[in-house]
Amino acid sequence: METIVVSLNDRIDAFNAPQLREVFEGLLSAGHVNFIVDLRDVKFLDSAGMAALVTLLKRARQSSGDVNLTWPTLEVSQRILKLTKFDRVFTIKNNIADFNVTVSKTVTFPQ
Amino acid sequence: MTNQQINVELNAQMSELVHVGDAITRLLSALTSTSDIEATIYELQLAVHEICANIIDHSYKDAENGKIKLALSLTDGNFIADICEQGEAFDPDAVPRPNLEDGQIRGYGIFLVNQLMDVVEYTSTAGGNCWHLAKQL
Repeated sequence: METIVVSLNDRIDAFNAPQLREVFEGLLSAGHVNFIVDLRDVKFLDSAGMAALVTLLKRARQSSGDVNLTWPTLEVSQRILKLTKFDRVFTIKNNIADFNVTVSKTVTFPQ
Repeated sequence: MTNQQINVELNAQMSELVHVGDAITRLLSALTSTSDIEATIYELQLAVHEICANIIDHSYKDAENGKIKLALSLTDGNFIADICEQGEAFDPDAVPRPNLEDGQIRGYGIFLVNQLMDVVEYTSTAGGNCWHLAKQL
């Protein structure tokens, strides 16, 4: 099963979350349903960024796909994701390789 | 103990939110840098950022040229953020607690603020609306 990696970096917040949603929409429209969103290099993630991830998850699951995440390297970001119980909603691992999937394409955001 | 205050005025646009983090980093720069302090700074940045994003999204939803005034202070280890605006009043009690087990599209913002701060108060008067956030560091 082919998996798309969306590699996020730096700030994902209310300012750029609308563009991130467009990237996700584009990938879904192209027929992709399995994603790993790589959060390792994210330095700041707010509720609008989280909402974009949950929206992708719901859309992907509607099409029998799934969205997995990697943990941000920053410990405080990990704590925020645990506060919001993201680790119950998503499968989150330390590295992309831990998912043992074939990555067909990697998209970076912001570019 | 350090007593400091920083006042910042933002245009109510998402592109301005980056200045919230900068102001808080500047305010707390006198504190000895440890990984705990860095985590605290991140949490304060996120809480104040969420309030400002909420104001832009809701209070100034239909307004152009809105302003957000922030008074950030650190007094005897107590961080205080007073965030005031002149937009539409907001009812914090009308925000349902998110069902975290299911994943939510909305509702994480105010939930996070409540989790990250010791005090979260909102007042709305004819002169404007203000959020008062506080946390003992």
